[in-house]
Amino acid sequence: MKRIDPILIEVMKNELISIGEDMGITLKRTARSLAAQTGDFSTSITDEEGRILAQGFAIGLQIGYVKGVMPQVLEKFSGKLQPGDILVSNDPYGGASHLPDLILIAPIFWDKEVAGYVVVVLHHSDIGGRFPGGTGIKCTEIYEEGLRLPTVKLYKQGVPDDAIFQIVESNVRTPDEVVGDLKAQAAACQRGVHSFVLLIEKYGLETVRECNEQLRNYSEGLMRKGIVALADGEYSAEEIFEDDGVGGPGILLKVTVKIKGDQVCVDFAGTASQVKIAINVPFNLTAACVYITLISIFAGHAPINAGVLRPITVSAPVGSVLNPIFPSAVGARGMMMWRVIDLVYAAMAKAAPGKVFAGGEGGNNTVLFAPDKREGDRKMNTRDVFASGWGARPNQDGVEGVVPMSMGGLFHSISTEMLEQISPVVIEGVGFVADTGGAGKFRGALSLYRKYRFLSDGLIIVRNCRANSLPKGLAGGSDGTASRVTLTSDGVETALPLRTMVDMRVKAGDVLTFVQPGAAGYGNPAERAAHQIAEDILDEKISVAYARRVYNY
Amino acid sequence: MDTRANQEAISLQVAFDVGGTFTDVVISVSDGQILQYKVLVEPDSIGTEVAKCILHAVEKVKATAISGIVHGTTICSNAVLEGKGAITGLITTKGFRDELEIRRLARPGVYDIEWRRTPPLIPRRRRLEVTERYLVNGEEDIELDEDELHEVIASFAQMKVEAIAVCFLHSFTNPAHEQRAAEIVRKCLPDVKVCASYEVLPEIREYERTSTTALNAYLMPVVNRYLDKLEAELHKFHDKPLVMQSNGGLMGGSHARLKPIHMIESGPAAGALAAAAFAKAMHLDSVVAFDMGGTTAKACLIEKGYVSESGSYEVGAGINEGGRLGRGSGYALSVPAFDIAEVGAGGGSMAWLDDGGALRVGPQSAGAKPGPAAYGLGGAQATITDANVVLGYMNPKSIAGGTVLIDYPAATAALATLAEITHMNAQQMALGIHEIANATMSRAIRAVTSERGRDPRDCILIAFGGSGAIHAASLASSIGIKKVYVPLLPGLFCALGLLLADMRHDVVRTFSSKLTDTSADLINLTFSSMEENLLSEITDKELVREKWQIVRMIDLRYQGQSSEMTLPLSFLIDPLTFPGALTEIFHADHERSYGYRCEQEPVRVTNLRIRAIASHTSLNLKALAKDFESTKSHSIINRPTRNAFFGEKHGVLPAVILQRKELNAKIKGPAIFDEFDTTIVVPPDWEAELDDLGNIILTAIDQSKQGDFQ
Repeated sequence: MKRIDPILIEVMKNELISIGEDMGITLKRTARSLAAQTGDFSTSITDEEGRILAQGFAIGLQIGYVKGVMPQVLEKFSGKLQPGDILVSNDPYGGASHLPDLILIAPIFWDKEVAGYVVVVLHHSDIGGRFPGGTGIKCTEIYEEGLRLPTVKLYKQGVPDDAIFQIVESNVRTPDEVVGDLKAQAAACQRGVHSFVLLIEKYGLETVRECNEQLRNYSEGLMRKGIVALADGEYSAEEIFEDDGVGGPGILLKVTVKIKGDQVCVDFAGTASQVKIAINVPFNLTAACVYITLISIFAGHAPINAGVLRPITVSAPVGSVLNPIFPSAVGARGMMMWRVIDLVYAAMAKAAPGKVFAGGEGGNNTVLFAPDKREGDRKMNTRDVFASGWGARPNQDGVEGVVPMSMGGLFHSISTEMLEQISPVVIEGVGFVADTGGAGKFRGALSLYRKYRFLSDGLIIVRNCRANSLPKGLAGGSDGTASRVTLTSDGVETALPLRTMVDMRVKAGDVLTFVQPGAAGYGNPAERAAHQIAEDILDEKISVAYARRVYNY
Repeated sequence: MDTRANQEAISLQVAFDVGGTFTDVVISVSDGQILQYKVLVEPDSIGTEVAKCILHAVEKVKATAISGIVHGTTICSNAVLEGKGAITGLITTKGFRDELEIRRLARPGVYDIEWRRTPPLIPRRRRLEVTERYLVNGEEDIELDEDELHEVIASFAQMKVEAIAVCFLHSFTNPAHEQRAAEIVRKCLPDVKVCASYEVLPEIREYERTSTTALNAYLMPVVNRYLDKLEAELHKFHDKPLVMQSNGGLMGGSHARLKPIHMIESGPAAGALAAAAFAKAMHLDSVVAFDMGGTTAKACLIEKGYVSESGSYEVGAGINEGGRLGRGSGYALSVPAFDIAEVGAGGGSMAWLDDGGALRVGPQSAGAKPGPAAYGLGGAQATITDANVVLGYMNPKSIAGGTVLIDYPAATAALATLAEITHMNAQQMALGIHEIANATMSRAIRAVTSERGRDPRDCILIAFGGSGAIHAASLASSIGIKKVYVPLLPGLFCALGLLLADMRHDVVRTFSSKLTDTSADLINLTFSSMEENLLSEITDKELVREKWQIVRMIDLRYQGQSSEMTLPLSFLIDPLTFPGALTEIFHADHERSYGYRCEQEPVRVTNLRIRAIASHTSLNLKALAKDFESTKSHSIINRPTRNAFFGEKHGVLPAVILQRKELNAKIKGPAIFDEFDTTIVVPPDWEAELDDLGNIILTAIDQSKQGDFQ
């Protein structure tokens, strides 16, 4: 066994990340769907017990899927796997998230034993069901949401199971994309397995294991060090999610964070019961929301592995909207998931003042467009994903024009020129909206708008995570500004209903304008430095009138 | 001045590398001699200094001709890293001025609440919009509003911009609006440098194209001023000085003025090229080329003699880094380049105390003027060089063969100021600066090794640049590298690399079609026209066209994929086997790279590429070493010593001062080589020996076997 020293551990850490990245690159380069190309995926490596060793480029939240799905894999397939096998799963009630997120899992064999697994999660363009894209809010049971795959073998000893591929093909609206993406996902798995075997050859399994144990301890140590620095106590926050699907008063979300020594317990007791629309959040995803939030506060630079999760316990009442019982619908859980993150940050702002930012835009917003006719090489539907930016920090402004904390990794928006190639749409503009966002000693990110002109009749599904609620300011900073979504048809501009998800028909020539919320401010606006106000005026990010009114400039 | 007229005639091939602090000049004489010079950069008279060196060389060897002048420069990369490019404006399609700042919403994948994004290269106040629009097929949707354009131009005139970038949507499909806009801007503001995106990167993806164009515009005035002066000074010797590009190839000055983005890693690429040639000659498999100059330090991985390359870069986020995938931290730059990681730590990097009272080093550099305090040119702020002088590593009287005097008291005074605030002595402060510089530089080395899954400890360091060999051993120790090569002329190594380079140009054109919907003839014809364009652009000024070798490449992908594979082509595609043969090559390549193929899927062409290469000169590395013979007779006993501080463990020790030629046996540190162009430090736990090629090989002494040492 090689001598374990800090340098070897650093190299091992980067070797693992590098394998994850290689998997990600294979997937991104060869996949077909927009989601894959814009990075809505993650790649992970686990040990033989299913504990996460590292993530490559990753949508942070997808760490929760690995934790959720691996126990099932171990239980169901222990002793039944062969080299070259690849499993597939998308069951929200089996550790997955929502049906379009297909998870592929491949065992890594060394000396005839399973030495670990690679896991590749990808958000697919469609999975059948009532609404294109599989994320419609109106479904009431998971049966409406599309094809559900329990964990099954998609590849047996390297050979694709044609029967499963045929079932998938005949159930989805975009068979060529989904099948192409599945093959790309499998290729990413194979790349990861191969690279990991080379790693074991190079260092020896024992060394790899020992390094990983130390990496876990290191990450765990960083987390605990951050936690123990906070005062013991209970910190709560609650919020109403405005859209319960029936026009009622909304859904109560409640969290209590208990800090005790170097441990954190996060409990969602008091949260409302599950609902008859598709925004219930499967428990593994609820937990993932907590993980990401706490990692960013306590150990933003720690290697991501099972160690960072050790000091954290999460619970939510069974049957609540954050821990729903089968067969509740979950397809549109995205909006609710972002709100859970904001809620945990709000509680943590009390527990760790000076370490948490004010509210961001409220999560990625999306516009799905499914034109009636598919011309030439264009896609059946495209889902455009975007965000505004971060709330203000305790010592600086929020970052503008960037995805939220939990969306790092490889995610980026699609280029306008690419989008117009694959979808009959013209983007008329993308950019900052002056005089938006929350004021403060440090201000939140401005609103970002996107404007679409449709060139064909079709269906749109608009997701607006904070349709009727504002990002929250901190320490005297103002709340963020409201979103505004309008459709201009035949010269008449109409505001869309204040719902988190709206599906509607559009005609060729219609123009959709989506102004996202502006992020919230931090600290008293009266304390904002004059030169920062002046710079913002020069850059036309705020007007002189606004500066006078808000900052008394 | 034709050398062929007289076989006896002596001609000179001149290479120089302009760094942040020094200009290194290497002149290869046709009789095999190598002449070397090192002069302080006078930002306003680089050409004058080089001209003096050439004149000196001409007289010394009685040369009758200058056969060529090639040079590399860090001027572009310094401008970006230090934010000192031109005042630049950007004109975009209405509704798109913020894309440059938004950077596709991407961010590096850390959960860091404190993350600060590098400010946009062009602030919003200088990003203006014009009404115009093409659709995806190149059809005009809205015509170019020239009145609005004139208003924009008036605003820019008021802001006194020096350069303007123009980037409209879909200009890679139809450049007419961009062409027209650029034409009007050029007419209205004749003194302003203008760059339209179709001229630089006619490729889909507007953010990457805008960013690349903006960087180009930002650098154009800088490079134009620089080349104008330089060429005027050197005209009497040669009228076609060539410039090194980031991809290791040379280009002519006219091209460089239009496309300075290809020069971001100009100097460092020459160093990487030289290191690769050395690695190949010495059969070293895994090498990290480590180059520390006056302003920055660079690292580059060389495997089996080949420098790793990258098609896209991110620059300006404290580190310039070739990335396999953009991470949204710096400015996107899409040009083929050597994969070199660069950090702001060089001899001239200044030490300072941050708000929290912590000692920081770089990225601001004292440059050549005022330069480090030790150079006695009025610099008062402590730099890495000052630290190395105070530590005793550098000669306290003079360097560069006595041409640059060292002001030891000034260096000590500069350090004392910082030391006082932090209650340390000057020596401790100096060691702190030295070590922080090492920590910063190890980031660059990690970026090209461990972050690529390569263990740096399996690599050999080739150290060069003016300060490289001062830090090499201590830096290597901190990373665990056990062997360091210091080649001959380490301080002039990049200049040497310039003498090894070929001319090279890369051109890409979008060609979007299914393979089954196009023809071999159309592709062949498009290639011919691309070549014609390129050759007419470069040959009249640079070389006769017969000298160019053209490589044709095609980008292919399965329908619906977003990334291409680039395949080299035989010169003409055979219409008889088209598209079957090409399709099969693609399937096979896809399978080899990614493990699967999709026989039924349509294959699309996306881009055609050509690479033109012409050999320029060649320098035989072995010949260089032939010139060098160690003088075996010398004894290292009774050599002078210099007291140097090697940290708390060793304290101050007398280091033997040696010349490379005197190294006739393996010696144990501490020792110091004061060379013309650099200083080589052998710390106490290291030993040094000389090989046949004149390299000094530094090896870390295995502590467990220390008893064996004689």
